[in-house]
Amino acid sequence: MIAGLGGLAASAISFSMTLYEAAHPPKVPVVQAGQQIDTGRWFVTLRSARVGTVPPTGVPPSQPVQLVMVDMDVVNRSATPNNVLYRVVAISAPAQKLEMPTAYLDRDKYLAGYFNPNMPERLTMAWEWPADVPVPDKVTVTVTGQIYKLRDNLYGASGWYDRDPVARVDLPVEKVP
Amino acid sequence: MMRVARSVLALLFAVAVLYGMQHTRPLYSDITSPIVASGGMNRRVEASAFALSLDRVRVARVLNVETFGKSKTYTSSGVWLVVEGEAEAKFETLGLTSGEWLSGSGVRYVLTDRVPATIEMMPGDVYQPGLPRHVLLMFEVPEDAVAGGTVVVARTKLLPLDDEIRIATNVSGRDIEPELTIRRNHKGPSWTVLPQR
Repeated sequence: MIAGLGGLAASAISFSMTLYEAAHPPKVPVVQAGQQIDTGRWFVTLRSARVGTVPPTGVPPSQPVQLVMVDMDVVNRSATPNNVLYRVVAISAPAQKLEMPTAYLDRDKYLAGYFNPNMPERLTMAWEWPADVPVPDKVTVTVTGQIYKLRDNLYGASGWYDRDPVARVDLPVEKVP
Repeated sequence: MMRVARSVLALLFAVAVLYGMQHTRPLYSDITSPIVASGGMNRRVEASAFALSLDRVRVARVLNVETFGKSKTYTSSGVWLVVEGEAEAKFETLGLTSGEWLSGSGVRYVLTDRVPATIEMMPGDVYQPGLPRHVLLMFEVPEDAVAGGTVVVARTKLLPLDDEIRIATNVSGRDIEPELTIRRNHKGPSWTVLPQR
């Protein structure tokens, strides 16, 4: 009886918390381009955005696509190499879900792999923009924070977990061929 | 009254015991960590499934890679570590897919994925029992992660409680060459590190 009531209360509280959070989205600080953002696991500095058809490799894809490319500097501050930056840096298109972006390492003009700890790198992330949606003059980049848990709630294992966005950066979109 | 007090005490005791256990028991990653065999440079270190020896670690600022007539230069914000040695499986054919550089301060660096796969690094080969094979490992690390580094090799990163070999290197981090060239060979050992030393 008590367990049932407890469960009911828990789901009611969880539901109302979700409702409340949806109604009051957290205020995310707006950060200028070129300013370093601390996400917990990464330092991210967003530089510029442009739209084009040729990825940083210089080889145009066989099917012409519109790419929104964002240049940035990153430093991995954790103790292990990592490459899941797409969870940290994201842009959004109106009413559409964008595909996962591709990251290109500026040094090699080639696909980026792991980012090693404490090694600053410049990279370009390229999102394929839907062909039937015009690219806006300004794109808003959302940077998500991550926290380290020494023991997670399920296994007691250590790991990094996504948190709320820590910054929003408006970048003007340059048009390049 | 007495019964209520007793249950409250029992509850508090249980909470205290659980809290204590949560904070003193080893981490999940420690319980499922690999079984380590450690050693030094220039000697064969044996794990239960394979053996590894490392002969040489060279440090350079720039890495040139020559493979199939193409040459590409790889720069870095840190330095390149080129490690050569020999690996051998003991009882069954296996691959060695995980190689890491563990810096003196405990930061991990995995084998570089910038160099093309035509240069066969350790994960690209298969190791047969009784047939020792030369291995090449390349890492990209910041300069301060060189001295006191350890090479960690395992069959895979994903198998808990599997073998792992750790070899403490003897590099000082002061002897940094301006550049090294890794050339793919067409016969003999599958690569050469130039300039030869």
